[in-house]
Amino acid sequence: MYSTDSFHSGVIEIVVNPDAYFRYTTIQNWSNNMYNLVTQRALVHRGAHMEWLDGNLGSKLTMKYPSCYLMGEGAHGDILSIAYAGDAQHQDTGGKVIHVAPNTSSSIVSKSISKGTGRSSYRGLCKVYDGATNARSNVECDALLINETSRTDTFPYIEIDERSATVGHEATVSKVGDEQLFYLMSRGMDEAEAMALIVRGFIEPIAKELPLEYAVELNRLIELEMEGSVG
Amino acid sequence: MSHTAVVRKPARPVIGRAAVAETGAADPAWLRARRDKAWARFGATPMPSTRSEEWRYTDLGRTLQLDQLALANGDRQPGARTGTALPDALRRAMDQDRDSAGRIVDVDGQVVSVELQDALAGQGVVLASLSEAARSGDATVQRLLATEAVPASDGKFPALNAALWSDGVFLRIPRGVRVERPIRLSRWVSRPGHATFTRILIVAEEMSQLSFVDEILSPDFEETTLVNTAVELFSRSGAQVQYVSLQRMGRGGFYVANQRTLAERDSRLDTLNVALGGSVGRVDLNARLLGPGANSDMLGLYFGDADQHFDFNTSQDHVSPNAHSDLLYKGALDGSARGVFRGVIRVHEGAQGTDAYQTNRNLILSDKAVATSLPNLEIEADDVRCSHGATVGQLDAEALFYLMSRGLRRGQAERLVVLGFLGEVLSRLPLGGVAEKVTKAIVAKLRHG
Repeated sequence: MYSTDSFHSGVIEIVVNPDAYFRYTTIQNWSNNMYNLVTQRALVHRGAHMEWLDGNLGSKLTMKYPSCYLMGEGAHGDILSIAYAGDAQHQDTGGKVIHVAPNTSSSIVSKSISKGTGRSSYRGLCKVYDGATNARSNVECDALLINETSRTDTFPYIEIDERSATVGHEATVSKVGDEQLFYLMSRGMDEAEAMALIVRGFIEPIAKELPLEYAVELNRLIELEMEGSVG
Repeated sequence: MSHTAVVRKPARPVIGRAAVAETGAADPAWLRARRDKAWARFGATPMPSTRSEEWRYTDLGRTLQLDQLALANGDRQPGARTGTALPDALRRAMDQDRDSAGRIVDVDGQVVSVELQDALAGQGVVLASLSEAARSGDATVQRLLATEAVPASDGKFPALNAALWSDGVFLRIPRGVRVERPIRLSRWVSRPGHATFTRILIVAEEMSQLSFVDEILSPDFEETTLVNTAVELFSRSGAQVQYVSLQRMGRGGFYVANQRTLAERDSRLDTLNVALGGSVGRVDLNARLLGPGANSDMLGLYFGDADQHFDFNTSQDHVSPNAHSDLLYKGALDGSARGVFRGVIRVHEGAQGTDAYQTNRNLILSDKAVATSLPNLEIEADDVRCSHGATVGQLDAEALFYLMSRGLRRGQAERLVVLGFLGEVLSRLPLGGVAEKVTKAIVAKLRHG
């Protein structure tokens, strides 16, 4: 941890050539006085498949929207994003998919957890250009709020210039249910354990995509962060 | 009436300070002062540009030149319209309405007739020309006109409207009075290249009930013709209010509406915005849930063809805990039409127990149509249930195939699927003849295409 606020700006460029498959995984846990503004772009060519796996835990403010430019016919882009905003943190993350060619498809799954005075924002773009026939895109955002001071936002942009495109966006916001907590506690867990289990279940769809050592790391990080969140 | 600035067309008064003074000449002092303040606000507010998030997809710089417009209320003769025969198109639309408890007719921004059932008038219901109500010293009008709901400080158009409105509707339902049948406003705009500014102020006192249908029609215009409407809706505790807007202007119409609903404890304040006509339609709707148990259903339906452009900017402000709002906007876009939906649910700090939903669905019927959807959430409380969804898609191929296998021609099948898609919105707000009227208008548009 540095003694003053610091700034990181990374740029990641990826070119996925025809029929190739590429997955880029990043779990970032910056110190809480870091401004983290990152640009991540992938050009995805004919028949290729790009996957961004993006985990954001630390930093004071993160602004990061991995993008897939689907340039060739049949290209596919996946963005899996998880954000954890603790006290005084702002995670402004999401993803962009730009459909330029026919028969392209994409999916964005974003999960965020806000705790204490933390704020997590999903910001994303789904753009389908005229001529990208039969493009398909689906976006799902789920936000979990731990405390009454926690905050979450969802800002999706959906711009469709193509008749045959099929695009869907869904988002839900919820808090940890009293009933869920009560059930687990009735089975003998204390409140903190129950809370941690629910949060782990919430991020599980993304954690299970991670390589084992990353998944273990992510779970432990979240457990550490969740400590003292009850009561 | 002639200003040196108007050299080009000296007979047409323009939007300017002189017009503000002229429009308010017969107003009481408080209203003249309010107009002047609004005019100053208008001057101090920049014209919204596409650099502003809320106007990103509607380029006013390209589509609207305010200084090219004459003012519809500037050149009227007092009382000139009274007794004049109404235009056929307006008369036909009015004849389709069944079951009215009252009706106001407004032609070119001036109320020409007011009818209200005697029984309701006896119960204290007030239905009046807004400018007459203001001039007769109505205390409610003085307190609520452009102060709480759509004040001049809200933006460029609210400021312009508060300065230059010529007439409109004032409707007040006293405590406990239930108006079973709709009260209607039928509006006609006839002057090409003019701007009309209208206001609607509705106050439903405690435990009262009311539905209001605001329909606007016009012929096709060669020149851009602006109509700006400010709608202020108050539902006090336990009241039930429905507001329906049917925008059926002709081509060349540029319709801008600024609507705000304020729903108090245990009241219901539902709205339906239907956009079928005009060249450009922009609706800013802000619903404020001010007390526990307040509820707003917000419905919208748009069907664009040719080069029509519809832009809806909605917000659901949950200020109080335990309130409910549910938004559903559905649109079909044909030709090179463009539909924009931008909506936000704001759950303010402390608004625990909020239930808020938002759905926008678009059907693209042609290669050149464009749909843009921005459903936003901003949540500062934790015990809430909020969700939103947006979709953009084409006609369901299986539904079409099924209908065609039953012997329908492609065109018929498409028409049925579109009507079924949009019909969901109408079925949620069953109100004397609205669904039939809108369905008829959609069918007429589908036949043209």
